[in-house]
Amino acid sequence: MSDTIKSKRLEGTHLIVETKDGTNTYDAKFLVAALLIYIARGSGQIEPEEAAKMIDLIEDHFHMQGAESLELLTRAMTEMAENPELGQSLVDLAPTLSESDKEDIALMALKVIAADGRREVAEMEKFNEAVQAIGISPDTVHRAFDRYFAETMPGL
Amino acid sequence: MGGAAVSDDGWILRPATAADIVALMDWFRSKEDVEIWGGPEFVYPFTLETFRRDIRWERINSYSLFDPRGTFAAFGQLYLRKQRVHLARLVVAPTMRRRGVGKRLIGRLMAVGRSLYASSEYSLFVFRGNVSALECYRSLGFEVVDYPQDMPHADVCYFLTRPHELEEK
Repeated sequence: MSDTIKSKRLEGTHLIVETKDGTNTYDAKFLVAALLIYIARGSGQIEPEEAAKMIDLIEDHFHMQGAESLELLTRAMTEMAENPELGQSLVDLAPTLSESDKEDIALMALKVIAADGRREVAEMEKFNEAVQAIGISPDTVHRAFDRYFAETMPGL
Repeated sequence: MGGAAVSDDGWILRPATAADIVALMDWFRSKEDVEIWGGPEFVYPFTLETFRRDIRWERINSYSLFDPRGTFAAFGQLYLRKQRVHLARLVVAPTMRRRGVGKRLIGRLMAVGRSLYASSEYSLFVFRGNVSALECYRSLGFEVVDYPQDMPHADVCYFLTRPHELEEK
C-alpha cells in the first residue's frame, strides 16, 4: 500500500481501504499494533526495548505466536511509514473495540512507553492523542493507569 | 554472531538482537533511504522477511551502538572480505545524525573486527552521492582505491580501504 487512500469502509470488524495500488483489509489487531507504534515513535524513534515489549504484548493479548506478532508489528510499521494517512483511517475501527479492549490497549501503551526505562513527555502526548482518537474515556484511562501501577509497583 | 560487547565512555556496542532489527527498520521511510544504505537490490517496501534477507541477518555479524542514555544510535555489520575487515550497512539513527556518532560506530566496529579477524586493513563501500558519509570515512583515514572488479555498482559507489596501523599513530 503506497498511495493516497481513495475510499474506505467498515465491514463488520474489518476496515477495507482502497488505494490506487489495490485494496487492503485491517482489523483491531492491526489497529493496536499501529497505535503502539505511533506512541513509541513519539520520542523520535522506536527503541529496541519498546519493539520487544510491543511484540510481547501483542503476542499475549491476541494469543499469537512470536513470529506472527513480529510480522504484524513490522507490517504495521511499514504500511504506516508508506502511507501516513493510514493512521487516521484506522480510527474507524474504534467502534469495534469494547471498553475492556480499550482499557487493555491503554495499559499496553503505558507499558510500551515505560519499556525503555524513560517516560518521555512526547510519548505521553502521543498517548493522550491516541486515546482521544479512538475514544477511550478518561475513566477507562484511569483504570488502565491503576492496573499499570498495580502490576509494576505492587507495593504502592 | 561473534564479538563481545565493547563499552567506552558510556557508549555501548553489542551484537544486534531481533528487536534491534525491528527498531532499525523504522529508520528507513523511503526507497531512496534504503538504496543509499543497502544498495539498489535492497527490496522496498520491505517486510521483516525481505529486510532480514537483504541484510544477510543470518550470515553477517551485526552490531548496535547505544548512547549513554541507552538510545539506539547506530547499526553496522562486519565480515572478512578478501583478507580485509569489511564494514557494511553502517547507519546512524535519523535522530542522532551530525553528532559524531558515525565515527564512534566505525571506531568500535574496527576494534571488534581486529579482535575477530587476522587482517591488516579495513574496507567499505559508499554511494558516491553520500557526501557526509564519504567525509566521515576520509576523516578516519579511509582512502578511495580501485574498485574491485568482481563487484557491481562501480559506476555509483566508491571502494575505500584503511590500514590498521593508523591506530597506533
